[in-house]
Amino acid sequence: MINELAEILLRYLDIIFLSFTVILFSLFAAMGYLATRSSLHYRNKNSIGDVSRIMASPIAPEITIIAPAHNEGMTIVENVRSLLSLQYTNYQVMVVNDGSKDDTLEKVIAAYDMEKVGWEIDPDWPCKKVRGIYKSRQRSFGKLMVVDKENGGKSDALNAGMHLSRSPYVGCIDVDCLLLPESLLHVVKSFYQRSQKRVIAVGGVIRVANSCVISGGKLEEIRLPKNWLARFQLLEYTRSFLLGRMAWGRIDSLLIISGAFGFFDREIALAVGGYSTDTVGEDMEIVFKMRRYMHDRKIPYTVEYIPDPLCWTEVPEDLKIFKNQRDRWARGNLETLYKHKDMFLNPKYGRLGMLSYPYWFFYEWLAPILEFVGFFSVLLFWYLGIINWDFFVAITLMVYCFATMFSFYAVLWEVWSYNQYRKIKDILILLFCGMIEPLVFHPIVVWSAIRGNYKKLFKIQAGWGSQVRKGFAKA
Amino acid sequence: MDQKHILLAEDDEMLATLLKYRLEKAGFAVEVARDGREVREALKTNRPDILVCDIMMPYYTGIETVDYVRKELQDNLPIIMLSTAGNETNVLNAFELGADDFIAKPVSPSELVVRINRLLIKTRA
Amino acid sequence: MSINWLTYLPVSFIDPPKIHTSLVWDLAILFAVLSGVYFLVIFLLRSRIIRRNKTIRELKLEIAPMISNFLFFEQDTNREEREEYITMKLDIRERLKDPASRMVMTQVLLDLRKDVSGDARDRVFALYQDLGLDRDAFAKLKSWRWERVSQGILDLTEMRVDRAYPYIRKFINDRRSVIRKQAQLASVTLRAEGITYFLDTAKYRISEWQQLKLLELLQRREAFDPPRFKAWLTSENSDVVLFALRLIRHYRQTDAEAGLIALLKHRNSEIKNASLECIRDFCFSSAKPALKEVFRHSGEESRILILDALAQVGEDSDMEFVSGIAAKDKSFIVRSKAKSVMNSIAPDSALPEFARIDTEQAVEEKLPEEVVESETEPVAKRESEMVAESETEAIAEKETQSYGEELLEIEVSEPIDLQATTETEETNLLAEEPDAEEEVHPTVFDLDELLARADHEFTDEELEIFDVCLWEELDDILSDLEPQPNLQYLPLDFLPIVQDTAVAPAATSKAVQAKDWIDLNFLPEVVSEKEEVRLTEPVEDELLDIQFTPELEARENAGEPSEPSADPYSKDPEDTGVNALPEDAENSLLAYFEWDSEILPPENKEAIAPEDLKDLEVAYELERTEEDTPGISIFQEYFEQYDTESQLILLEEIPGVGGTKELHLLQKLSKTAPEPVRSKATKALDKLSKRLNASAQKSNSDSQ
Repeated sequence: MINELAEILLRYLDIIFLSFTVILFSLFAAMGYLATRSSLHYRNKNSIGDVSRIMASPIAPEITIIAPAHNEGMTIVENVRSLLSLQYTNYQVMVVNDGSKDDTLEKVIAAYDMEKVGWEIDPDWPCKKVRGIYKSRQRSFGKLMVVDKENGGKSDALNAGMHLSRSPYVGCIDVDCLLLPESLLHVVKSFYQRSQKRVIAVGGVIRVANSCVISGGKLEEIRLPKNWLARFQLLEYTRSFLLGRMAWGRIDSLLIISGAFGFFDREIALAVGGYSTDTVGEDMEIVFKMRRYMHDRKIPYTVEYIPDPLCWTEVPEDLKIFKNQRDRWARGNLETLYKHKDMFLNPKYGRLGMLSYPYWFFYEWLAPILEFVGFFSVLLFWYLGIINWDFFVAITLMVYCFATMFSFYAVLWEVWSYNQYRKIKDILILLFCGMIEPLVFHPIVVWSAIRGNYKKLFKIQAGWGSQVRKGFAKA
Repeated sequence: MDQKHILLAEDDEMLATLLKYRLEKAGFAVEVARDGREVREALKTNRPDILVCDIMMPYYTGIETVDYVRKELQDNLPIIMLSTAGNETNVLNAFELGADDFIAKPVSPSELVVRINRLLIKTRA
Repeated sequence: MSINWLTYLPVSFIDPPKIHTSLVWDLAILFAVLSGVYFLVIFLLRSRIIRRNKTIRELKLEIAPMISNFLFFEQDTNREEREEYITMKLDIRERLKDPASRMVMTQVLLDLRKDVSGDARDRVFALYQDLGLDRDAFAKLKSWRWERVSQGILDLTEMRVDRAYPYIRKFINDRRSVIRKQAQLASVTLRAEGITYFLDTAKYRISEWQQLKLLELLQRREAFDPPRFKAWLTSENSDVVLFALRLIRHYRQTDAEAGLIALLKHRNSEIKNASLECIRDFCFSSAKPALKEVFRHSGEESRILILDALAQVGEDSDMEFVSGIAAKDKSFIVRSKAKSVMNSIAPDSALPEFARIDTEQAVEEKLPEEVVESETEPVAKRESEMVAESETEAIAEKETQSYGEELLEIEVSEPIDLQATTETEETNLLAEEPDAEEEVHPTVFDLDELLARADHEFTDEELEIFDVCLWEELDDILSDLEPQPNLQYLPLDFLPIVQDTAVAPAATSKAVQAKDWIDLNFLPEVVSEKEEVRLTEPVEDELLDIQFTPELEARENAGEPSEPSADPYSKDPEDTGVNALPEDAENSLLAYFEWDSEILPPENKEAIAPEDLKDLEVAYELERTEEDTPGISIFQEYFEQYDTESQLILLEEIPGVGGTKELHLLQKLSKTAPEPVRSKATKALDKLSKRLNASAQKSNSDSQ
């Protein structure tokens, strides 16, 4: 009797498990298709034209780049210099010193000859105390503004910057990432090219800068990272940005904009209260909020995505830092999903509620947990000697082949669209990474995600708070 | 012997060929260098009467080249910079380091000839 | 329960499930095979890219000296050089029969155009057309794939093919947005009247980016006399209005005053703001009543702009209005703006410029209570005060919302005791809080309009295009890596544009309207019966319009290279008479409509009269006996070697460089050669004899 019941239960589980896999595979296939279309479309229509004139156009909007800095004394001067040399006329760079304990503020002030100025601050805006605002005495640094405030975390720093800015558009970036000179032009183009929808946010690709030659704030030569962890991340980023986000962008369901390179319509961002300070996944959460805001008001809007490699950053090469980063991402994911749980399968939110949210829920949040549990169950059943080896091997192999195929496809697009890694050896290494990733890199990612979820679910608050920034360790 | 020798440093092959042709037509002897390294080689072997130098070049930029000529070679040979419009800081840098003249891209070859001639007359005087 | 569920999940491995393992195996194999395919494709793609780059590089290296030669070729060089020039020209034409080299050539010229300026650039444009590369671009216009059309438009624009304007203009309201945008940019680039036409006809929305680019192109135009843009302030397309406003502001067209003030009441807040910016910049004091009137219906952004405008034209009489705002507006930014406006209207008023205060002591003494919040000094020390402030503020606001208007009047008038008493009207004005939604996003969108125009992003057509693109790409890769032209290139000859156009409009423009007639102010009488038959359709009118008018206009425009398709270097200064017709058109008519010599103007016929020729020969031969061994022209050889196309080209060159030997050759050709070479030869003979005649006369007079 019990055996029969178990039998039936198992049958159902088989079906559930298989449909999960089948849906996952079809989603990935659809993603590949959409991304392909999107890339083709993009490649054909993309041309900025005469950069030098457009960047100075009298009707080009002002953009404020907000770069929160926390204990960045080592690199801040160089990073700011690179931010000041973008190809655009009407922009401001706002460095928000988030209560650094080192000499970040002093270094900037000294390097750019800055002085304290008076500035109007809205007392109603909730953020940590602003200690002072600095501008340079020299006209050549007129674009720079430094806000010194008490420590309140990255979100708080960005909020302060957003509020102090007067530009219609604000960019939130990590101060340690490298923007290509033409970045702002692409951003303005994205904000401005729609005539029927309001563009509320623009996100972009994050490329891996490890081992690249950077001098004087310029990317001189693109190289494949020497570190294996960074190589895996490079492959992962390629997959996620070139295929994943491209596809989501194509159907206007992009739910995440990287904290390292995200631009927002300031008005809407402020209307939703800016970044949330109570989550570590603030960059995802703000997009949720802004999208909901527009949806609730039934205003046609869109979130744009720029596939051009504009923002370069160094990914962690140290396993511990990497695990912490992924742990934080998992927590942020969970928090955001929880906060907006009423969107789940809610037809009111259209594609967002019916497709994006469930995808994030099942495949970004639930999948690692399932994998984890599954792995240990397999071990257990192996120990108990009740595994159907034939089926197990077959399905494992299938999943493995699919994963490899998807990675290969991503590399294919990388070659087709930008072909930035010129050496044949580099491509081979990337493909090799794709082949061993499911065995080496992926378990680490899953493990970190589990750890993050565990911490969050059991309210272990270790290692998160106002000090934690999504800054990447500098090599 | 009064044919003047120009060293043209420009990485764009097409433009280099074109300018070379035009300058030769104007009666100069032209040597082309494709990047910063070649410029240094060329300067060592055969000192030109004038250097026409693009700012954006592989290995050593135009700016570095100017610096090299003035500081390391201690040479006051006339230098004309080529630069894309809107690259003001670079141009200012180049002048600070001792460039003599500057012509914006897109280049008018005829203008380049005029400027070269003028500079040559000035330096002779 | 759910925990159990999860724990049992892997149990599926225990029991043989219904799904056959073989299926899973099959899938695994499929994916593995696909991985393998991708692996191969990656490397094939790479090698293709590398090979293509290499080929292009090699071709460029070969072509570069030729182009330099063409660009700087001067008529006044000696005969050898000229002959060399012609040989090279023929050579390059031979070479251009290969589509790949045509592509590279186009690419090279497009690149070069960006690198050079001045006369060299004009010569690049001329060369582009002279080599007939524009015909590829024209062919692209007929493609059904949007990216090709768009590329064609781009090429023609970059190379300033003025003749393309009437064609491209038709795409201004194309359904496909990329083409539409490209065509708009092209029209504005090609002709000064492009902007007028565009603003008159634009039906679709114009994105901000597009406006930005259009303005950039206008700025780039030399000697551009902008039309009076106020004419478009009443356009039905709100984006046209918006763009007109920006142009008015940019070109400082103050004559638009009345229109600008009227637009303040426009329901589209973007238009309102744009006209506010104009009014602010132009300092129209006549706008004051309207500014005050619209203030209360405005969002935050507009309010700030209104205050800005008032700062420019305000007088003491406006102080009341502004101080009312400074005291009571809901928004912090508006309030502080109002205060600074008060300062600029009456600098000696009690309020100091708050943004530049250095000593906070002074501020505290001078500032009235409600200004403190806008204090600019280090916030840290003042925090307690600020908190208190914001609390009162918050309470005030809450009350405002919960009690009605009557209460509010009392509530709000309290803190103003320092200011002049506010007019009731204005108090009301502020009391009527704008609807929360409106304030949050001063609605940029006209919802109705938006809904009416569905987004075209996902049309089936695009899907198809995509599929085709994909397969093409794959085919390209998998086929043996040779560049396989799937394009039908036009044969390289002086195929009359008439031929092209006859198909083009028919294919693309069902929408051609009678309007397109407007340019048709020159209908040459040479139109043959064949043409006239076609004339019944408007499309064909368009065609004639294209064929003749632009070029004539171009001719009239001094400074512009006239006869875009003719070789600018071989042109003889005396090349007049029948050549009033663009050479290209002429050739084509000759060639394809068997336009016989009857149509040639009589004086030209006389010019080729054999007696004259003989005299000329004698005169000329005497001159040049030492230089040339009399006998066979070097061109003779070419005529034996090359095909009809090249012969035609050659015939075009001969009048410019040829001597007596060529006269013989031409005479022979004009008698014996098959059409169309014969008629062409007749013409060339005419030209050459004229030239030689002239130089003979010149040398005669010199010697005398």
